[in-house]
Amino acid sequence: MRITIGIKSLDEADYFLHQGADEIYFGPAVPSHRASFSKEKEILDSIRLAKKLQKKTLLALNEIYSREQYGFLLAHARRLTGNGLDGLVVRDVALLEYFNSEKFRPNFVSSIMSSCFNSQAMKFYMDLGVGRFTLHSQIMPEDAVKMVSAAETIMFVSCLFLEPNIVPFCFFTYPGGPGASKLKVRPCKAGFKCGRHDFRMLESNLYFQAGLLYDFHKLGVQWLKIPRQLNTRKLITEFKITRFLNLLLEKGLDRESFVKAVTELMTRADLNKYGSSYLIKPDVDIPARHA
Amino acid sequence: MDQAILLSPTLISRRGTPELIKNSTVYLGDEFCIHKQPSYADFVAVSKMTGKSPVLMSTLLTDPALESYAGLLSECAKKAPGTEVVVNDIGLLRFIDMNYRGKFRIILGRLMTYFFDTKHTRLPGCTRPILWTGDDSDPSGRKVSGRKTGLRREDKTRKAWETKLDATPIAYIRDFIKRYAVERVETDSDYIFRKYACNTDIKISFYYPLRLMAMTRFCPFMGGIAPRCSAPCGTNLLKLKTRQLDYQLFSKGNAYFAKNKLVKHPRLDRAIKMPLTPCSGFKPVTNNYTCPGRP
Repeated sequence: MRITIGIKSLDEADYFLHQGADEIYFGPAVPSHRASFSKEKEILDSIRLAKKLQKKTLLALNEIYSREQYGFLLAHARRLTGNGLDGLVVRDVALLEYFNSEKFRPNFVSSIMSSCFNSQAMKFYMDLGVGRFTLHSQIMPEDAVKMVSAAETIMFVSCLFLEPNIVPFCFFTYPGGPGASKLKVRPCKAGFKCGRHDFRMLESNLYFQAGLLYDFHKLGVQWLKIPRQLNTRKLITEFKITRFLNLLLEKGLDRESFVKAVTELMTRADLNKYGSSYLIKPDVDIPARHA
Repeated sequence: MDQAILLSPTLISRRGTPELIKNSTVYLGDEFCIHKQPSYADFVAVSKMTGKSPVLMSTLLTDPALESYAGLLSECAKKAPGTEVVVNDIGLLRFIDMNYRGKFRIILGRLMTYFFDTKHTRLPGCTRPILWTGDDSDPSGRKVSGRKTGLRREDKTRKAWETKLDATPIAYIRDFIKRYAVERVETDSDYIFRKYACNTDIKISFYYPLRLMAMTRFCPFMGGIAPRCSAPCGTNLLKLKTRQLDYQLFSKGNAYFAKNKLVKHPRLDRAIKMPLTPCSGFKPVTNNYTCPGRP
């Protein structure tokens, strides 16, 4: 499978593209959140670098935007595609229709936020020009046969990203946010009491996640996705794990051996030591290009 | 104002269901679980019990679940045209529009209205509107000098939802409603209710006494994403206690909720009640489907 990774700086672009990422994606130059470039020039430099290395670039516009932002977004996206950007990650159906009405039809890639759960939903987005689809992390391989055969698809690396709840229909705030001022972890990771019993929102374990990764690879999913995050050290580790697991898949390991390898690797890597993906870790230096 | 009640297909034959329904309009199915979607036999059973066609509920549907639902639609299109269908999946909406346009009365369910207004669904006091501002341009692309860069809290000079992120422009929504011949929209959010009430003339329903906080396929009653299910969740409502959240959280089926008061508004056309049975002694099921102990 090919690897696409979310980045937030030119340094990250340089590192991941040289370390084997097939595609980088990033937010618009005017930040909608902190995991984004701050200047358009940095994006253009990243696109230029990717072109030089014959890799791909995507601009992620995977929010819902207000009408007054459309003109700016269109101009921004047009400037970037004019300079070699390969496509846009989208979720906003109104924005997609606007782009179509303005005859702006680059390669559109649907975000996980599009909540595409079936091939009919894919057709809805195909009618708007979407050609590549991010599979929702709570879709099982047996549910996705039609979807994978209908278009190019992306999956998240299950052992690194499998949300306990379905986005975009999870409305919990982050710890410390409104309504959650005393929360130390996200509600989906928090401990509750239900009567006298402990209660946690149910998750999957590594065996299950590794099996998913294997089965989707067999099914024919083409892309592995590593989401953008503020925690750079964790992002680098996740990338290294993804690259290694992808090599195992490409080598044709049997399912049981692959699942064992994933569980051993993930246990040894212990991603918990890096903290949450939304923690800002500004002190992290990007490793030297050939480290 | 119409009063409606949500009814899972597994509850149809239970004793006490007719009393539960009384004279309410029945919403047959489930908005959060693919295993609780109605069959045509369920539709007939409720029609006989109440003397009128139930409203068909739906959720986000996987391809296999959509195929089953298509069977139900096919039967209803022939034998009960004009049935109301609550659509919560954009794929299902397209499917009905392509195959059964005019055969069903389309309702956009609360997942669809959330889909258009994702972040304005939090509890009162929990909204966090963020304006998008940049180095030297405002969101419309005009040059701005002397403005502090970065994210800013809500600019009070700009009111209305259209200035905020995660709110689909109302002009688009009006067009969408017309294009798909939508007759009614539904929500459990006071904010979204007022958005439609103030900007459209469409019928609006409101869900109570719970509002959605999150949905999942990892079902605590089945121990994960189950391929089949006999709906042991029933109407059980689990009260989840923690000191870390400023509001009370509940679990029902495979979704999480907070309390919700019925909105008071002259445009409220239908109130939809979720039947609940408080359940105090529940131990979550694990290691059944998504937590296997070995490869």
